[in-house]
Parts: sequence; C-alpha cells; structure tokens
Amino acid sequence: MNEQDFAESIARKLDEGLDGLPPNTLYRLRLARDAALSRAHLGESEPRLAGSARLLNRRILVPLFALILGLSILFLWQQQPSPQPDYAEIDAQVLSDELPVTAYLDTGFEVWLYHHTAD
Amino acid sequence: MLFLCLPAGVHAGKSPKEEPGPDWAQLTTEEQHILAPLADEWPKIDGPRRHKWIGIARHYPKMTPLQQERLQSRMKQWANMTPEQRAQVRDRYKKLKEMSPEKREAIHRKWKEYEGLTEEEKKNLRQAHPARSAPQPGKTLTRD
Repeated sequence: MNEQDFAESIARKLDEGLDGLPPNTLYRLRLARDAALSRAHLGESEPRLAGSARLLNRRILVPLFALILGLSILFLWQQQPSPQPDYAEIDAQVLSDELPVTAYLDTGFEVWLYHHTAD
Repeated sequence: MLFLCLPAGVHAGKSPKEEPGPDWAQLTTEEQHILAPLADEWPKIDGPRRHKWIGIARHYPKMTPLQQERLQSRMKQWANMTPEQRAQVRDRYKKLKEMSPEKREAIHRKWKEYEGLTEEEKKNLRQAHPARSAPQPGKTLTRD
C-alpha cells in the first residue's frame, strides 16, 4: 500500500464514521466551519473596502474638493471691491486749471463756442 | 466647509466702501489748512472721497499761488456736484488737454468773451442748446 492508497483508506473510514457522529460533535464542527468561513470572508472583504475608499477618493472626493476650492476662490474674487480709480491727480488739475469747472457744464458756453468756432 | 464659512468671514469685516475715512480732526494741520473750504462738508463726504481729497492736498504744495487759489475757491462747488457732472468735467478736461495749445488758448478766450455777455444773452444761448438745460450743481455727496 503506497501513501496515496493509505490516505484514501483513511478518508473512506472517516466518511463512513460521519453518520455515527454524535449531535454535539456535529454542532461544534458546524460552529468551527462557520467561524472559519466568516474569518475567510472578513479577510477578503477588507481589501475590497479599502479599494472602494481609494476609488471614492479619486473619483468623487478629489474633484469635489477641487470644485469647492474653485468656487471659494471665485466667491472671494467677486467679493473684492473693484479698485476705486484714483481721481486725485486729475481733480487737482481740473480744479486748478485756468478754465473754471462751470465752463465745462455751461450749455450756453457750449452753444457760444460751437457758433463761434464754426465761423 | 470652507465655502460655507466664507460668506460669514467676508461680511464680518467692513468693505472699503463702508470705510468712513479719516475724520476732520485726524487730518494734519497742513491738510486742514489746504482743505479748509471743505471743513463743513467733510462729515458728509464718504471714505473713498475723503482719501481722494487728501490726495489732492498732496498736489497743493507743487502748485503756483494762483493755482492754489483756484483750487481752494472751487473745492466746495466740486464737492457739491453730482458724480455724473464730475465725470463729465473730467472727460471734457481730458479732451481739452489733448488739443493744441492754440486751440486751448482760443477756448479760454471764448470763455472770457462768454463771461462778458449779459445774463439774458447767456440764458438765450442755453435755451438754444439741444438739451435745453442749464447746469444745476447736484446736492448729493455720493462717491466719485
């Protein structure tokens, strides 16, 4: 009898004895099998969950964060008041010029100027 | 979160538009002397325009005595004009500056001639204008 035959004869003997196992032993065997199976599933599912999280990061969270950042920058930019033009220099010139301010707004002068320039 | 927090953060501080600018008492003695014609108007002038007047005051020492006199005599009138009127004057002043010295001189001469007209003659000329409106300095003191 070689090794293979010997192993098969043991397996056969074990199978034959299965029907004769007491219920208590069968119950403990079932518990051990369930525990082994749940450990095996847990070991499988962990990497899967980790993979899903990475996928979620890459496909949703990163673009979402970029969108929020972009909107925030846009919002801040819109909140910035448009720079007030610096009129100090031109106003100083206008107010100290030979021609008074009234001359620029006097419609009568405008007509006077138009007619006399057209001559 | 960052986005949601932003409005509160931004509105918590005063925007430059709301910034009231320095009070009259906070001006230097020299600035008060230059801007003296505006002393009564100062509380009604908003922040950006207060800063603008302080900027104008910085140009004052570089002016001739005649220019300084003109500036001070026109300050109050300028401050009481509407932003639209000020914008119109600036626009026309820029156009005048682009003209040749001869043309500018001619316009100055025409103004002196116009000033010599009677009020009735001026009124007739104003009525002949397509817009038919004499200049009415505004009462608002809004920003430029």
